[in-house]
Amino acid sequence: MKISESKVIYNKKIGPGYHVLGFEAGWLEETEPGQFVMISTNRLEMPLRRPFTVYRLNEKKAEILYRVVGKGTMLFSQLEEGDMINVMGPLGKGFPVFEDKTVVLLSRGVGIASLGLLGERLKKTGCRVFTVASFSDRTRSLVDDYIKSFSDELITTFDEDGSSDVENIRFILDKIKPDVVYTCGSRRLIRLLQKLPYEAYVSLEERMGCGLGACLTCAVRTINGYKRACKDGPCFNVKEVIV
Amino acid sequence: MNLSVEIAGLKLKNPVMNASGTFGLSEYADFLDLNLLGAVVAKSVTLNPREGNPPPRIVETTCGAINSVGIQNEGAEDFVKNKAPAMKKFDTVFIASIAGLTVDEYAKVTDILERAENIHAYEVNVSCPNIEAGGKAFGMYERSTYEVVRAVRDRTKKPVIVKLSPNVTDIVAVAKAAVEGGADALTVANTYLAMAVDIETGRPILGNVLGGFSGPAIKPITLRMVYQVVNAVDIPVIASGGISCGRDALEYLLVGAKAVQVGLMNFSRPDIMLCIIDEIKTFMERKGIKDINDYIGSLKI
Repeated sequence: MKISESKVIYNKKIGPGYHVLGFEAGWLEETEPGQFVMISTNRLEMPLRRPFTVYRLNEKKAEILYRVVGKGTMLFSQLEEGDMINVMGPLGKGFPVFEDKTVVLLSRGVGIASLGLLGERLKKTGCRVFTVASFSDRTRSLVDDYIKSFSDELITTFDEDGSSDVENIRFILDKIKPDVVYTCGSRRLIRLLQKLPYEAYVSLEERMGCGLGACLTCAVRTINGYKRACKDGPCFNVKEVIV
Repeated sequence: MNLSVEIAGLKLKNPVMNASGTFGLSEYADFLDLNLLGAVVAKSVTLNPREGNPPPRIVETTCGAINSVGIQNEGAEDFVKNKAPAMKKFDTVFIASIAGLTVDEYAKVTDILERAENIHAYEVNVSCPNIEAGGKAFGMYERSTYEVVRAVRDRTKKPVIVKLSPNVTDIVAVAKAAVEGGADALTVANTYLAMAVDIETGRPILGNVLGGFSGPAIKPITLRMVYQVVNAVDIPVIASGGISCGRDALEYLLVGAKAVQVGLMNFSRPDIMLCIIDEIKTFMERKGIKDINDYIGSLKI
């Protein structure tokens, strides 16, 4: 783990409010799936870094996939090629990676950003990867060639046609009968997985201060009391978390 | 060049330390050698473990952030047994921070902390806005400040530093009450009671509704309070509020603070205190200042 100035290589808009930021990050090669980086634009008016799971690693560059939700991400969306950002990482506890299993990557919205690197790794370890990606509507689908590259089967579901309904997701999972499910982006889906018999892990999100485990601001509720999203997570067994 | 300062008999290598609760003794050791700091201040402890406030516990605002951690800690006994010993290997002044909900709790925490071998001084946190409903704190009132300080003072011979609340009508009056209670030094000041709301959800952003505001935005207000307190009491003042660079630290020293604490900015830049120390040195070289004590309080009005 280290802190480094890093050059922005690209910052592409890929949908309404959705962007992919690519930056130089050779030192992030060792990032485990589900681990995150804290990014700062070195501006005093924004004194806190923002946490992002590493979406993809490719030839000494790292990508994050993000949605503009506030002032910070709005500022990030304006970054251009050649701009400098300050990156700290990799941080946190990632997802457990298994070999030769049937796995489902179950995402909601921009939550798919936390599952990219994981899918690529699971494919390499011989898993059969089913990606079940849920979005509000087709214009907001974030499925790209990268997601397709590691998905043995890809199912997209939407609110607009009712296919993203929790009962339908349950039906899909029961048909696949996965050994492990990984999820990110929806409390509803966490609650569903808590009721199902499959081993399942979630990447949780919380407003974060230091990202190093010191400030205790990114508390998430678990059956063992508050845990730190940044250090004890962000990836947890769904049976452990209280949502 | 001399950077060392003395506060209540404690010799600090330089005037830079962290603010309580913004720094992890183990988490930050990767980024900086704790031996290079003037002092290290531990996170506040209470008598019993506290699980802290419901999340979210932090929100950024322009040039600052509001936090509502709520003194999450494992209790004073655990601190003595499991946390304090980690500082033994460092040759740095180590300050423990005492918090509580009653005067009696402050007294009991002090009794427990007295059993640790390597605590050099106490900072009495009478000013956390996140521990009681509505942001109330002992440090908002002269009488309760006096009582808490007196309770700690009566139980230890070690230096007692009192961290004041800025959420008061007259900081000088409360500072004087702390002095009367037996304080050896004052930290000015804790965070400002604040809140943030979300117009999309129509709800408060922080789980605790209210929180403590800190960061570069508050520096001018705390600078004013440090100035007022320095001119009203005879004991050393440690400044804490919005320091993000050497220049900020020097401003506080100029108005008379003997040392400074760095808080929020440790989050985004874990090595920032070392940068600040270097920047102070560079400034002294440039200005031909041989002893930082000659600079402290040299404000010309």
